[in-house]
Amino acid sequence: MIQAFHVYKQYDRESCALSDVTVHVNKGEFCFLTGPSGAGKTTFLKLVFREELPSQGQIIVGGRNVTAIPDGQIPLLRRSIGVVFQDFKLLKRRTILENVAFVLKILTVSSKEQKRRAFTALKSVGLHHKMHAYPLQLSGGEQQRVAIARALINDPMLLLADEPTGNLDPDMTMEIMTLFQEVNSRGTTVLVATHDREMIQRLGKRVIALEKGRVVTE
Amino acid sequence: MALLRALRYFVEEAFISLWRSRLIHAVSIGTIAVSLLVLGTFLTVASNLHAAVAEWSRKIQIVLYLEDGLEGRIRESLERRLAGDPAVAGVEHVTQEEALRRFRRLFPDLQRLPEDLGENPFPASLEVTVRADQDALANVDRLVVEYTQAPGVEQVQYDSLWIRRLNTAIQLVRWIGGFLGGILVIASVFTISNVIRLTAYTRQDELDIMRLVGATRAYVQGPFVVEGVIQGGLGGLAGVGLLWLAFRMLVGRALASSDLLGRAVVFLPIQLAAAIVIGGMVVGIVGSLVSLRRMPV
Repeated sequence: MIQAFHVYKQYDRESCALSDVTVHVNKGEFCFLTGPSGAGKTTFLKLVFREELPSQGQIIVGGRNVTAIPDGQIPLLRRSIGVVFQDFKLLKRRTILENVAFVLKILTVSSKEQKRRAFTALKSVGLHHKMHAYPLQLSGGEQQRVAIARALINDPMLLLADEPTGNLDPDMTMEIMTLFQEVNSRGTTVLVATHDREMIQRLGKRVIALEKGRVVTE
Repeated sequence: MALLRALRYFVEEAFISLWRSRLIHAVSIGTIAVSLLVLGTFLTVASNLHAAVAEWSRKIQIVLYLEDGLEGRIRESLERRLAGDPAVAGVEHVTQEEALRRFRRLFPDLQRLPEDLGENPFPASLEVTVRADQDALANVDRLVVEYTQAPGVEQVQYDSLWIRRLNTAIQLVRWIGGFLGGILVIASVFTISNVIRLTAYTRQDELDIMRLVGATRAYVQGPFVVEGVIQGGLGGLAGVGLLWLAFRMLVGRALASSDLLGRAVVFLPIQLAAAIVIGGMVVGIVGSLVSLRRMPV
């Protein structure tokens, strides 16, 4: 699903965020991307969904070379990838139902269909009863679940999660991980960036470890 | 259907944004209105002068003063030649007696002048009316050259020079209006562009999320372009509205009773007024696109 070949990312002359990163994540796999803060986890995820371009190297996602696709096709790539951000990135002035439906809105799906599918997605994360609430009325764990529902509403081939449990307590963390495993069991490839070693050990999935921008374990 | 949904979304978002930052948008609309008001003022002046000149051009006459004691057959030959010219609308023979009668009618106080001189000093003439069309002034030139040296013609008098000068003045009014209006329109583009950049900045989080969940550039930018069109359109309407009010208050009172231009002073033709509003919308589109051109994909 993800193939990175000798990827470098340099923001300035002095430091290199990623250096000669070559990794593979297979289709249908559940994989952790780990490493201390500043290791390059977020940078790598940004390269995968083409938020940024590598300074050097190639990245292929779902058979598409994301370093070479034209600007006009970037939205199509992103629609096939669900992304869960550490800071949730929810629209504060929209209800959580609207937040989840927003992905379908930009695809100009009919309003009725948007609501139906957003409700189903919220139900899958156990928040359908709060669909008219606004993000700031929810706890951190609930907001994260809304972000997951949004990431999954369009049945993505790949789910990327950047420190999805960074702000959550252990119980909520396991709840979120269980959700990810369910998604993975339905065929979606899952790549979770985290520095939570305890959680990684508990789940027993493959780990790609980064340190100072280099792959140290794959 | 999808396009209609997208358009509906653009319009809804644009109005929400306009309402949310209504003060700053009001300033922007005001700037456009003032710019288009200035442009509209010059256009009103120019179009009225132009219409007046066109009216006056219709009345252009060439007067061929005839030599004293000219034989009737030479005068008739001149009249026939003139009447056969496609540029000539009409020829009238004014005899010496008729010229004297006109003089007495115009200047009753000088009734006795011819008797004092002992003779009728007014020559006979042919008054030639030039056909009113686009080539009227060029035709006047041609006829003057053609008949100045014609046998039996003492002198040719024509009055197109001041019309030419007025035409040049109208061109000048247009140039000044275009220049000032152009500068103000460019200023409006920058105002709109900055206002939209500011509103985009306040909604940066939302725009980032839109991009990251796969919204196309057109979908992200659409509401801003519509916002620009609405701002520009409202600015245009306000500009034309202000111009109309100013016209009613100033021009209506000052010039309605006077006959300065020889015709009624009128407001901008509807086509030009519509063009100003549409121009405002175009300014809005350009302004929004200028502000959005560096938005990341």
